[in-house]
Amino acid sequence: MSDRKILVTSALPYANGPIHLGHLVEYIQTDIWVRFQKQRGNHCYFVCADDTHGTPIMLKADREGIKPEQLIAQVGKEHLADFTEFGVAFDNYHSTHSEENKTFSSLIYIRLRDAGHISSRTITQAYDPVKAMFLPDRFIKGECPKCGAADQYGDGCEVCGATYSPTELKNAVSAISGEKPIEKDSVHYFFNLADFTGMLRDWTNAGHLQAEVCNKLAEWLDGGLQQWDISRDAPYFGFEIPDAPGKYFYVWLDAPIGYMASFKNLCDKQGLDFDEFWAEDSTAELYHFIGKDIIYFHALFWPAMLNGAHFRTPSAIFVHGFLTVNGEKMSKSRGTFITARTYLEHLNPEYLRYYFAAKLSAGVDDIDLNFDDFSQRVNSDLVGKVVNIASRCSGFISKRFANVLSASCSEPALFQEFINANEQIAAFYETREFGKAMREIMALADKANQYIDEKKPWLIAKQEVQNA
Amino acid sequence: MGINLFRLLAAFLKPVIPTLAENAENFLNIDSQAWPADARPLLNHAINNFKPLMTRVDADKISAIVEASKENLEKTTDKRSTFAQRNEKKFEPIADIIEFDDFAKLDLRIAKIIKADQVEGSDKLLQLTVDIGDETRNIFAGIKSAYTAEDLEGKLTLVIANLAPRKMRFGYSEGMVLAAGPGGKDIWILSPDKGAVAGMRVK
Repeated sequence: MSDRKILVTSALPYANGPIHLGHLVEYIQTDIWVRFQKQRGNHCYFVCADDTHGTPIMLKADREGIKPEQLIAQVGKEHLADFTEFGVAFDNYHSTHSEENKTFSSLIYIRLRDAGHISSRTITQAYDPVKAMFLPDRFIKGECPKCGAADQYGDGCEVCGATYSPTELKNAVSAISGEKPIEKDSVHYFFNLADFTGMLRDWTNAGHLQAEVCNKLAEWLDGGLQQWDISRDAPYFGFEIPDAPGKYFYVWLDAPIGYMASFKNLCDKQGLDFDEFWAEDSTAELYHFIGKDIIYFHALFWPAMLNGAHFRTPSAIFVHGFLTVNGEKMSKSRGTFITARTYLEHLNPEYLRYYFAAKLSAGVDDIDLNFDDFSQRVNSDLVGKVVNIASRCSGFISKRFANVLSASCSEPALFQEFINANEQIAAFYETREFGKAMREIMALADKANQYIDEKKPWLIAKQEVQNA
Repeated sequence: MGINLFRLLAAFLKPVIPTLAENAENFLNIDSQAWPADARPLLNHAINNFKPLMTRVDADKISAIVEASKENLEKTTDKRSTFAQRNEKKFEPIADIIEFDDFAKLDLRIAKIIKADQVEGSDKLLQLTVDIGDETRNIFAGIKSAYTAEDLEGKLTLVIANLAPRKMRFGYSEGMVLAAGPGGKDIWILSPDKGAVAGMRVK
């Protein structure tokens, strides 16, 4: 047994909607890995938080006639309840709208600014004159400039796949007020990501990432890194930038810092040493589990921010694929866009935990939830193989031996074979090859059932009782 | 022997199915299992009565999930807030019963909106000047998302006239305009039938 110090995170769910089965792939994957580390005796901490800032949350709260603080408190509570019932056991679940997060966001910003990694300039953006606010690309709708499809977002067309800037959209309107947006100037703050090109080239090739992810990043690095716009204008639900009144940190700046903030909150509750995990010279392990859609933020922006602000960088980023249901993208109309709550109202959460484990690997491939396969695998593996062993043996032990197990081990070699398998199974868990671990365990379960079939222990039991 | 093998399988599966593993530990009458790198067989050990640890997946339940997920879709497309969905009713519940005396404390008046002005720095409020018969009042109303100043000027509506004046960022609000609806674009102020005039008490 080892005594490693490990900090693990899952990506922060956005506080504007419920948890669904697609989210759960990641939380269950992370939770299995964390539980394995803890069972091995390692000092492993699992932290997460609700991601609470940004325009969508501000507008949703507005639509519901409540304050953003009320919305995020309500949604945060629902998220945590869903996770808990799925057995996802965080050591701490916090919110990005917290004092800790404000402190670290400001600190990291100031360190980056003082080291010359922040610049500012005026940009022109779409502005809703009725709502008196700048419009994010997703809040502008109009006709695609390429194919003419109606009702497309400002950043790309869902019909022809073209990408463009909102100013190119024809007959554009604000999705909030329906008004035609005007163009307006505003000073924005930028993180000079290109300052970190060398650092990121080294970091992304130093074994912190899966091979597929490395290749993707090499493409981005070769294409040249752009400045990252980290500010948004009021009205915005977020943290005001310390030296720029009326300007707020873009939600994606403070979201990953939420990992630190949640851990700081845990440290304060449990008296742990924050610096042992986050100082530049930390030897503790730090792992982020994420989906493949947010690689850019975690494998480029985040290590650069940490490096520039003199914190340690992640030991590794573990990227997983998306969930498909019955071979297709989750679909609301087909009823395969399933929320955690709906699932919990009908089925045992451990069915899904086992099924995901059986399908997961260390790769970034999508995994499929096929309902027939799901029933078949859970019924045959867990119920038919594993639980069946206990139910087959418990009857005669209860009847013949008053629930007391034999005084001697009848098959020491078989027992030892099971013990010896622990190293291979542990290696599969450690490398997130959960599917392989499950196959290995089920092969052992087959052996146990075979042994019971052959030896018919209830007959031996009968014999022993007669001989006694 | 079978039970000892089952015990190791439960330990190996514990990260994946912690509840089942814990129930197995209760059945086996053992402490929470560490990773079984050097576990020894349980010998001469008393276990508890077996209770079913997991039932088979019921295919009907899966169909029920798919059906319920389609229903969720219908609920969200009819644009009711998640808060309304939660208690399965369209509207907020009726408030607690009050006595007539409580009601009589409210002084509701017909008011004529004389002027409606933009409030600089607020994207929610309109500043209304209303005539309530013997006096005019200044009222800030959070109805900008649903009404323009032109919509309102000259209109008769309903206000609470004896609400304590409230200091707001932009000045004092001396009363409140009554309106229905969840907010945003969906706000409807009330108007009396023809014939009512500003100043009449609503009882």
